[in-house]
Amino acid sequence: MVAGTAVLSSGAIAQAPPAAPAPDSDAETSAARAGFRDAARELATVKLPRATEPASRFEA
Amino acid sequence: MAISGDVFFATISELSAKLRAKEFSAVELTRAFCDRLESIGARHNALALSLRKDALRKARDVDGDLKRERTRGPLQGIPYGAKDLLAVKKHPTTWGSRVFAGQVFDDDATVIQKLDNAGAILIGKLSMIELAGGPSYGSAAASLTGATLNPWDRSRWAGGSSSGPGAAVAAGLVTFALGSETSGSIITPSAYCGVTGYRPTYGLVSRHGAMALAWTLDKIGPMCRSADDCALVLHEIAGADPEDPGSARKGFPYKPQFDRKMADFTIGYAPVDFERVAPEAREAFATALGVVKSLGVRLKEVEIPDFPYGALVQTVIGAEAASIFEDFIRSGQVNQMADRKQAAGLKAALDIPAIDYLKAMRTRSLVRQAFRDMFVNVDLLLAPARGGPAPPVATALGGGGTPMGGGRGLAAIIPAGNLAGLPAISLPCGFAGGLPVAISIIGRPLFDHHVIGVGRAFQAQTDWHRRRPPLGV
Repeated sequence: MVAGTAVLSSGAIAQAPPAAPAPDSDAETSAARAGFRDAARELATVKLPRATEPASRFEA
Repeated sequence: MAISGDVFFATISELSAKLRAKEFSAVELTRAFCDRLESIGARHNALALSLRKDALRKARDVDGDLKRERTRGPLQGIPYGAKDLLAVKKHPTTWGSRVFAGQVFDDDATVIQKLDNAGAILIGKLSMIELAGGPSYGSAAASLTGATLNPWDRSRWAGGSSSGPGAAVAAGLVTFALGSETSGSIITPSAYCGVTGYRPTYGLVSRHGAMALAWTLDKIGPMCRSADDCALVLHEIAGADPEDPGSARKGFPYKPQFDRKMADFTIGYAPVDFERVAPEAREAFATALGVVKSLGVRLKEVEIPDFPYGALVQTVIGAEAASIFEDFIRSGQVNQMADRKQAAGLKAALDIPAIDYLKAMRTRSLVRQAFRDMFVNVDLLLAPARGGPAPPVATALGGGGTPMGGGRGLAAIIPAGNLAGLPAISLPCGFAGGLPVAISIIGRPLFDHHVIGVGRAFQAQTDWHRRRPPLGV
């Protein structure tokens, strides 16, 4: 859906937001939780080496 | 002086030369781009906020500097746009969300300040998928501004989450733009819109002042008309920033005269990737592969290390996004999101156990090591940036999965490359049914110069990156 627009005197463009969505159902959130659980099951198939330090830092 | 159509599609270097030759003033140029961004940008839902007044003020300063021969480099006087997750002081920064539509920050993001110091002229905030699409979203309309339309075909999506930057650069509404990528959000709209997009090594560009989606994955990068332009922008925005804990504390001094010879490079690729692309795109990708071969590089067949990249990126983004947006979720504001799937995903992500996140991060260490091992035998990787052209705007998103048959190839290089912090460039490489397609070159961390160098060499032999969409204006 294309949002409506109007040019304001300040030069900014006002955007008419899309209609407010209905709150998602519990079913949708449950499905999302199931998705994360599926991901966890997939990750469980990876054999990890013995951890000697916390993996809470990330650097490229 | 009237600004000709060619100017809107000029590269940074071309535009800089015209400014210094006084073919037009910075004020004239800025006004022309602002007019274009406000009209065409609005028609494509690419514009979040015009910054015309501030831009013209800055342009007057630039004209004053140029008159006194106070030069600052090639970005001086160049109009650009910024994805609306980058803070610009005293103006709304909406993050693509109705909930944050009135949000205003007191300070500019670091990258905005750096570009201001370089004399670049910010003319507008550009549209984006709400909250950069985390943890996932189901439609192109998942945005305060609605679906961003592809300038090549308005029935098609511009891609996301850096939707506005992709469309705005493609349509010549800005000379370059700043986008961001957590997993695919620069590469995808760049590929779909036929622009050159660059995802830097993780940590090369400061994220201070940018909305965080996932701390260990977020990167800011340029979306431009050429690889050379990406390098010129990266030269200005890269560098250490004590305000960003993820800073790699490295810069990107751009010295193309020291580019390595193409014959020095071994590039890994998987033939199966080029066979699995959309049928209408096969010819374009085959031609592009031929161009890469003709550069004189050595090509070597490779396969991506075997890890569950989808599950990894889903868990990392989910957990980090849930932490970042915890208040937003628990307050119920999440229910005001434009995309129900995205709202549901954020709510569910609050329940990701810590042990699952830690397992994902431990697995990431293995991913990084596996890529380090791979890069012993190859310098760079080559893959289709996306497997086909932009989908129709109404297409339901999120259905991608591991391609079946033929082996892994490098099909998962977007999530894998992001998990490993690898730099990548998306290079327009032809058309499929009138819509752009692109290849990507990926490098090891901090190999940004060589990723861009190969991109420049590719674009010296092709002109797909110079093509213009049929806008009718």
